[in-house]
Amino acid sequence: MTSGSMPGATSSRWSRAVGVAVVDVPDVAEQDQPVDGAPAPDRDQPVDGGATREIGGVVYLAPLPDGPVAVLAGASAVLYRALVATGGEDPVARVARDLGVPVEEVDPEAIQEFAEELREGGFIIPRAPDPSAG
Amino acid sequence: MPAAPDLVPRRVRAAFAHAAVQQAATRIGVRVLHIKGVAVDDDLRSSGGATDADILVDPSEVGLLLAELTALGWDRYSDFVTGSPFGHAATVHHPHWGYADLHRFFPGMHQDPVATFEELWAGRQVAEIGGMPCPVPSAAGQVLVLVLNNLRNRRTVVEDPRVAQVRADPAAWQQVEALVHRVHAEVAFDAALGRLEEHRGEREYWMWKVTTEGGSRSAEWLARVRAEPTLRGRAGLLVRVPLVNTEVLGHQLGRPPTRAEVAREFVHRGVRGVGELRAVLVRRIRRGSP
Repeated sequence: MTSGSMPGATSSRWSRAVGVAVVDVPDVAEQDQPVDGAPAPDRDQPVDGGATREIGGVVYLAPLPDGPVAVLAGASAVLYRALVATGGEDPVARVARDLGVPVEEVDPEAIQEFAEELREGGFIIPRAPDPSAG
Repeated sequence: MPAAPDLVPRRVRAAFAHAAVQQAATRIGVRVLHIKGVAVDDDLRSSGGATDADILVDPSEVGLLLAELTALGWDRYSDFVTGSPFGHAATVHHPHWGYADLHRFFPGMHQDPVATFEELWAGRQVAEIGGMPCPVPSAAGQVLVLVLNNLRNRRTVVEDPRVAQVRADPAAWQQVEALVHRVHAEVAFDAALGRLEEHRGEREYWMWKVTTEGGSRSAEWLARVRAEPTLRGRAGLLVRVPLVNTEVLGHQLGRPPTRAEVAREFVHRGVRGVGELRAVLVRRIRRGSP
């Protein structure tokens, strides 16, 4: 990722949409179990079009009641957690921390694009402003 | 991003099944308690991980929930009547969430399902499953479910470290024992702890005797009949004995069974049943027992 100026990424805060269930498996080893008799997935096996499971674990999102399940693996999982985090930490800083890279290497525009993609999919919604915040 | 169901681990799907059933139950105002698997406190969770969602439903409204789930795309996998000798659970299946077992009561605390549900509901707490708030039994309720579930599956209770750690805490164990009395689970609870003989002669005795020591499916059914307190209940069970589980047969075949296939299965089950009963009788005659 490259550095860039994209105020939206750092100023936007998101919440998981109502009716979307989530299972967050930060530790890859925890979720490496056979699936209906299938062999356990390879730790380095690409999941969902290229992301790997080496860093970031997996976030499963389930839009109820119909599905299907969305699987965010590796960096995608890291981005999702940064977007919906409630601690007030800057998403760019959090992504950099979780991926173990310098902040300047994280592209805020990429985070914003990913957020828009999740919003269009109905997985996240903009968080209502905190009335107690100045 | 959307994943095929078989790419999602079973315990993740089980968590989503809990959440999906809870959402449906909330929408129609049916009370449910999530039990076993991912719904229990960490200290009581088994290492194997859950493969489906077990949910105790307000017995007076379980039909409403089944209808709602059917409308939401869940298929009926097995019914209460054909599922087990206890007749306690129906299984539904969703293409994305997998299996959910809807319990109208829990074997072992089945004397008064409505009163038992009210008792467990009164002590409920809320757990987050799949990111959704889901009511679960109290800590004591969860231990009791664990004990009775181990009993039914012929797994050791006395040596289960999860049970042992609760027994090591006198206050916690006292709460479990108090709940046992309130839901009339004394016979099953004592059976699980190796004290079944204290209940010899009581109605439930043979049911748990067969369960703990093993027996044929026919013996299991007959013990269940003996445990039924009313003639109506006994007659109902006797009628159910030869029923073919057409739902499961259909799943085995991959399509709805034909009348001929159901009839064939009926005959085969009948033959098995007769054979089992004959074997039981022969054993008893040889032993000279009644």
